[in-house]
Amino acid sequence: MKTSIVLLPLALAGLLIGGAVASFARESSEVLHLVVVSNAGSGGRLASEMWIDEGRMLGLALDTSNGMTSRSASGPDWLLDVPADPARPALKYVYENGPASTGVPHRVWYFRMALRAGQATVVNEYGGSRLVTDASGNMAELRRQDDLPLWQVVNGTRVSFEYVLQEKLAAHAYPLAFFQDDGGRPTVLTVETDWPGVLRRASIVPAFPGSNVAGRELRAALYRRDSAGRTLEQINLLYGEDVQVVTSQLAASSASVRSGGQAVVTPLGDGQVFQDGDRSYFMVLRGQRAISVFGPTRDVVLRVAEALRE
Amino acid sequence: MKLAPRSVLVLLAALLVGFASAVPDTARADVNFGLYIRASAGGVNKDPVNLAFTGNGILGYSMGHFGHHMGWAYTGGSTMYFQDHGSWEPHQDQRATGCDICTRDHIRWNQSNDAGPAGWDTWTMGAVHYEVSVPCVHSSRSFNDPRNVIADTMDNYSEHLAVWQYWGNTAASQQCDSVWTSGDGWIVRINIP
Repeated sequence: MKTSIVLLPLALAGLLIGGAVASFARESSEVLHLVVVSNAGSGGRLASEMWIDEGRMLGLALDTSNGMTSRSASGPDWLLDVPADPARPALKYVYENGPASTGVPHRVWYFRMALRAGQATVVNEYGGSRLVTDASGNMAELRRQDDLPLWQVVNGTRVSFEYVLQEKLAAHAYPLAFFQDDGGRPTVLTVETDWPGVLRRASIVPAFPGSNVAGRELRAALYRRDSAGRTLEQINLLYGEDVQVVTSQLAASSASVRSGGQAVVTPLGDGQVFQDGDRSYFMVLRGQRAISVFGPTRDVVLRVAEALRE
Repeated sequence: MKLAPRSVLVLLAALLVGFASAVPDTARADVNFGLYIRASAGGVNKDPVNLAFTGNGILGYSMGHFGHHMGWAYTGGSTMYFQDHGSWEPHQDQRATGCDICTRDHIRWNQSNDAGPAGWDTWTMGAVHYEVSVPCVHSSRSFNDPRNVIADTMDNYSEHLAVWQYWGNTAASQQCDSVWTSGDGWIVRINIP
C-alpha cells in the first residue's frame, strides 16, 4: 500500500514530463500537410497533396482532369511543379538545389520560400493576409498565418488556390515511405525542360550549344541527375523527330565500353560509329564523359558529330 | 539388308539436312543485337536493352534463375520486338511485379542467337522498366532503377556475379502520356551457371 502511494505521484509526474517533452518535440519538428486545389482560370483544376517540412518540400499530385485520376509523386531530391496551363494537365518535375532557387512558377510554396530567403518583399498588409512581390514582378497574396498563397500571378498567369485540408503533423508522421516506389526505392525521373533550364541545372556542359542540328530544331531537352547512379548526370537534346545528342557524366571511367564500331576522328576526339539496325549511333568518351549522337543515317550522325564542340 | 551406295548418299544427305535444321540457322558466335526494343519492327525505338543473362543463359535457365531470386509472378504485357543479328523477333517471355494495369517493374526477354565463347556464350537479352499506371495504361518512368534492383539482388549470389558495361543506349523515348524517359546507357551482364 505504501509503495503504491509513493509510486502514484511519481507516475503522474512522469506522465506530465513525458507529455511536455512530446509536446516540445512535436512543436519543434512539425510538417504541414495540405490538400490543395489550384485553378489557373478556366477549366483545369489540379488537386495536390503535399507535405511541407521547411527545407524539404515534397508532394503528391493527383491530376483529376478529364474525369480520370493519375498519381505522381516527387522524389527525395526533386520537387513537384503543378503547371499553370489548364490545357496541359501533365505534371512537370523540377530539380532543386535548395530553398534559394528562384524562377519556378506556380508552386504553392514559391513565395513562402522566396520571402524567407529575402528574395521577395511585403508591399502591403491587411487583415489576415499580405501582398508580396519579387524582383521579377511576380505577385501573390499570402495568408499571414503560414505564408501560403490565396492567389499568385507569376509570369503573367494568375492561379488561385483552395485549401481543402490542412493539418500539422509531428515529424514522425512524415511519410518518408511515400517518396519511394512500391519496391522501397527512391525514384529518379527524367525531367523535360528547355535550353535555359538545362544551362541552369546542369553542372556538365551540353555537347551541342545550338538550337538546331542538321536542319532540325531543338524540340526538347531532358535532364536527369542521379547522385547514386553509374551515370551521375545526363542531358538529352532532342532535335526534330530523329536526332538526339546526349551528354553523360559517368560516375567513374568505365574500363568496359562497347567496342566494335567504325573509328572516326572528330573535334571532340576519337570516337566510334555503330550501325544499330536502321539507326546509326556515334559515341566518344572524354574521360568520365560520354557524348553520343543518335540519328537516322550514318551521314547525319557523322555530320552532327563533326560539329560537336565542348 | 544391304543399302545401295545411292541410298547411303540419300540417307547421309537427309541426316545432314536434319542436323542443319535442328541448329538455328541464325546461330552466331558474335554479340550482335539492337540496343532498343520496339512495339513493331518498323516502329520507333522504345526501351533500352539493359540486361544480359550470359554464360549458360538460354531463355529457360535465365528465367528459372531470375524467377527463383526475384519472384516476379505476373506475365501480362504487350508484345515488343528485339533485334537479333539484324532481324526483329517478338519477345519470348515476360514477368512483372504487378498486374497488367498496375504500377510495376516489368521485364521482357528474348534469347540471342549467339552461341559461342567468342561472344557472351549463350545469352538472353532483357529489357526492364519501372512503369506507372496512367490513363493511357502504362508510362515507363525508369529503366535504370529496376535494372539496378535485379543486378543487386542477383549479384548477392556468387554464381550470378554482375558485370557492368557501358553501351551508351541513352536515347530517350516518349511514353503514351508524353513523358520522356531515357536509360543511362549501362548494360549489366548477369552470369547464368
